[in-house]
Amino acid sequence: MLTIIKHRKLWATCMLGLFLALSVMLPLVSTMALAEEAQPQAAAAAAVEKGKDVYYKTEGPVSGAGWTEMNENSYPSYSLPYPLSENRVIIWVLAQQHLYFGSFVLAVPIFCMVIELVGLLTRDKVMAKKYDHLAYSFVKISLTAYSVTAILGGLLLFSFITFYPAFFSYIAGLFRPVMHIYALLFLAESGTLYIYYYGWDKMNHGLLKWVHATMGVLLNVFGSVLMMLANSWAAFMMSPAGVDEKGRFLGNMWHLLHTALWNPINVHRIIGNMVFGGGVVGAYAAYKFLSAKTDEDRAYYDWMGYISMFLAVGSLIPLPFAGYWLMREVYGYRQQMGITLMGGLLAWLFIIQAVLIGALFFATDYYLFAGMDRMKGAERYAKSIKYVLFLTAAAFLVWLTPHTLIITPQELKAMGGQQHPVVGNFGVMSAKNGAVNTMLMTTIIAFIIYQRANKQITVKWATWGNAAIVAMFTVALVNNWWVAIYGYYIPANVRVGLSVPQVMGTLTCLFVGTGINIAMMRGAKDMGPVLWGKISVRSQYALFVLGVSFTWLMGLMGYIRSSVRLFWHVMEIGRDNSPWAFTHTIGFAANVMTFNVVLFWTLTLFVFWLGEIGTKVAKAAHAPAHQPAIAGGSK
Amino acid sequence: MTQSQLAITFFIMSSFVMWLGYMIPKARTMLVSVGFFVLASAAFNGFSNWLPQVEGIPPPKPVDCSNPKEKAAHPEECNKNVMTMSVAERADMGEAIIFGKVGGSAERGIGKGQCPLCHTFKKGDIGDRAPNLIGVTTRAAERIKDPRYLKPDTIQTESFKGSGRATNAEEYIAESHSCPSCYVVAGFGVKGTNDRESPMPVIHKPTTSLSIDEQIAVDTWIFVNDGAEPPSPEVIKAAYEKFIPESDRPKLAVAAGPTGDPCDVNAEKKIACATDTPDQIVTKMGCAACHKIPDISFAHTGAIGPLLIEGANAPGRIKSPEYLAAMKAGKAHATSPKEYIIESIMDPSAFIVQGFEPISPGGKSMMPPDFATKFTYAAVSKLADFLLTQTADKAIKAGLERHPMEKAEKLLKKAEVDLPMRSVQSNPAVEGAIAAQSTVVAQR
Repeated sequence: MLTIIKHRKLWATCMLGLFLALSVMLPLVSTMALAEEAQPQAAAAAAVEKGKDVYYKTEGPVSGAGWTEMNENSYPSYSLPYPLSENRVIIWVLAQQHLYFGSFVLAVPIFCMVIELVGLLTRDKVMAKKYDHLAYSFVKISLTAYSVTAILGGLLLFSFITFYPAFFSYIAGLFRPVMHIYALLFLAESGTLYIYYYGWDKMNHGLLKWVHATMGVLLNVFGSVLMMLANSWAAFMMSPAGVDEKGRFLGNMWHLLHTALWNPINVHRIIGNMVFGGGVVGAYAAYKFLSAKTDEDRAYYDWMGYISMFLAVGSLIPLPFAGYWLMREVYGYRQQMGITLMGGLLAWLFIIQAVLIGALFFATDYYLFAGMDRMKGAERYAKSIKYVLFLTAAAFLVWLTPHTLIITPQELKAMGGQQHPVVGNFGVMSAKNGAVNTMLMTTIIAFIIYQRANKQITVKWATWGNAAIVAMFTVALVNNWWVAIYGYYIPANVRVGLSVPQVMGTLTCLFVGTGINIAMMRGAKDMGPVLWGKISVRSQYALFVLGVSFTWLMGLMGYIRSSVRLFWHVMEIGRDNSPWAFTHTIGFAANVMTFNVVLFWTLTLFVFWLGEIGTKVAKAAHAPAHQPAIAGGSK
Repeated sequence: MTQSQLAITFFIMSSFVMWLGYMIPKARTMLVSVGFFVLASAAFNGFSNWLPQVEGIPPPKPVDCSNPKEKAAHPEECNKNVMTMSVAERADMGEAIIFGKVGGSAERGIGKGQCPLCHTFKKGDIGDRAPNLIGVTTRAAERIKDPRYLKPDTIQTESFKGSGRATNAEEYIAESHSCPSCYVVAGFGVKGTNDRESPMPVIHKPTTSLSIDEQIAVDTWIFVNDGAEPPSPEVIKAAYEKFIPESDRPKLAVAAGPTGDPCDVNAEKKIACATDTPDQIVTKMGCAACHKIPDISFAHTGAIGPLLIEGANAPGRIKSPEYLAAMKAGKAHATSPKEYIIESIMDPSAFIVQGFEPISPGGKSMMPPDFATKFTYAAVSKLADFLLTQTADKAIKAGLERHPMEKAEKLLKKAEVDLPMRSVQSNPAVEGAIAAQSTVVAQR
């Protein structure tokens, strides 16, 4: 033991080497496994029946059993009261909880890795320590959640085996080697996480700190590959490939993994996880802020909440683009599937998404404006806040106005149709695009105001800089509204293209506008320190709203993605013949989602509470020593 | 539990938890946080429950009529012969496949064929995703002479090896259904493929899986819609057999027979079944969202449709001049109160109660039109019997009032004689309508 302690650098390097080797070995092992599978097939090629890949259209040897048509007996269930009498509801709850916790434990290491690296690269030692402590706090939160994820994963697996035995047998038969690799990766990730967490203090200096940071990278590599493998099963169910029309495996494992929707789902989920992780950590910080007993704790958790909100909203920006790519690929794979989503049975669910996104923007803007209370000098901007909020509110109202209203016959007669003659115009896509871009721009304006709240700009070109920012936003907003109005006068297929100049305007404001603002902050005079902890209690509830909205959004979009298969287990290959093959109403789905959200947050608050016990013990060792600076601003 | 009850429950629950938090200082943060999370979730839940509630019902399982056992189980469907139908019958069948029901083209419904998801069928309509099919029978004859057709540069140039290409309009349509990428109309290809690949699915394969018989009916409707003389079913069949290899020809997708399950009718899982109680049926079908029903405690708030005291309403309504006019017009067929109730549920537009008419003349009832695909006959019969027991006295006792739009009905204050329960003599027209609708392919 003493030898290990004496030569800890050496041992740490060896351990890292071992994990790196393991990470390289895993794909190798998998390749070997697949090669072994292919050998007998190749040997008997002449006698083997050939099949045509449903997606790649290539020919391959039939290498496994096909889909077996199921009947009602293929779905053994308990005699539970409705809705638990439907196996899928139990699976739904378990899968959603597993995904919530799984997303959280995948996202937090990403933040951890980034913050630890920022700490390592920061020259200010006090700030470096602060970032390091923040990263440590993040990973600590995820540790208990990691166990919960594993338990829920086990429950989900057993439920699949017992409730959907025939379906699971088919999927397991296809993905057999992938499932083994998945299990091995899980082991590797667990080992890395435990060393990463428990070795934090021991590996806190010199080379070992870099080894530790590298392990953070490794942890994320394991986590991401793990998630991608699990995604391949869901993607296969939506857009099968690597099998023939009867669902028989054709010997090419890459085709099975690399289905039409696999990569878009991977990218969308990684970004979505980061948004969600930021939301959960933000809610954690808010919870800790509300329960803090000292000013020091309040200051620390206020800062943590701000960083988390910043990470969540920052990650939210690329998410619509990933979503657009996913939807484009959905349309490319099966146009009917896309129409079912955006213009058919599931279209109303996107109205709920709109409301959730609106809530996110509101909560973010409110939090940023509330945060200005802690900055001296922010009162200069108090006048402009109401205009920004007015624009956000107006855009939000347009954003959530439905096209078709549910009304009584009396109202119908009075209104002259299901679309209101004036307000009904806001229900169409043209108005929605204008509204969402307006909300995005007002949020960027809120952030720019926040950045300069306690700063006195000193650069010589301040007037030109301000003029450039004002001109940029004015042009972008006018262009956005003009394009939105113009969209009413042209056909839908041409109108789709109009979203490009709108988004370009918003992105220009985001990158160039904030870029100019950050440049203007150089050498800016502080009008007073940021008084972390001096923020209203109400603002912390805005962080809760962010957390709940992200959770709801994730549950909703997951439901949409899954239910677009309609009555298919595996799209166009394996039909769902269970008694509950129909698609539930929005209300039913919303009730299950609400249950999932409440259950998740109850469990998460329990996890926070557990973490609190540990915090009390470790507090002395990791006490914050210095007021942190605003992220995104100059020190 | 109704939507409003659910929302109130959430609100009370969250308020209670937060109040508890203020009472117990040590657990304040935890309880207030939980309460707030419940409240915020409930707000989103309430909004979601306020939106239109539609269920997606899967289409019937395909039945193999070449299998003697299945043929014996489904004699009506398997013995239905598209080859011997009149042109009008074939066209009606085609319209039902495309638009969900006969007459569905007027309201652009979506049937099993799912064609209107992308195509349009009326002159002047703009097809954003796929060509407008009006005039296709004329264009088809020209397309097959197009150099792009004769020398195709697409990902697939023949439906299958040796199938050959289309030589007439009907074959062109059959080829488009069987091999959409064999010719892609300019501008309608998959983005980025330069019109080398069509986004259209192969119609005889999943998810559409139309049989050749069904495609014969669809093509007949397309010709009729164009005002053209449709080819004979034999000619259409031959066209499809040219482009669909024997092994790929799908089975006829018709409703399967009873399996002993009270919810299973024609292999289609119904939602309201013979074993359900009236309360359960009302819950499953969401009647309480629009109607008030005295004996059902959770159905006391619906403010969209008439008060369902059918013991008082139905006998009067079938004798009303409006109903008699609807009968004369061939829309309504009920001869007894029970038949009237069943007809109102299964075919809501057959007769619309005065005060609830649609704004446009000849428009449809606001009531969901797809209950026929959700009820077993036993269930709708049970619900009708139950609704006949609902009287004005019961409504008064339950503190319910008529909907303000029910101008033609008596006020509840007036005493009225309950209609005695009676067994309903079967009415072939109503039963026929129900049987026909219950076999209509359920739509998503």
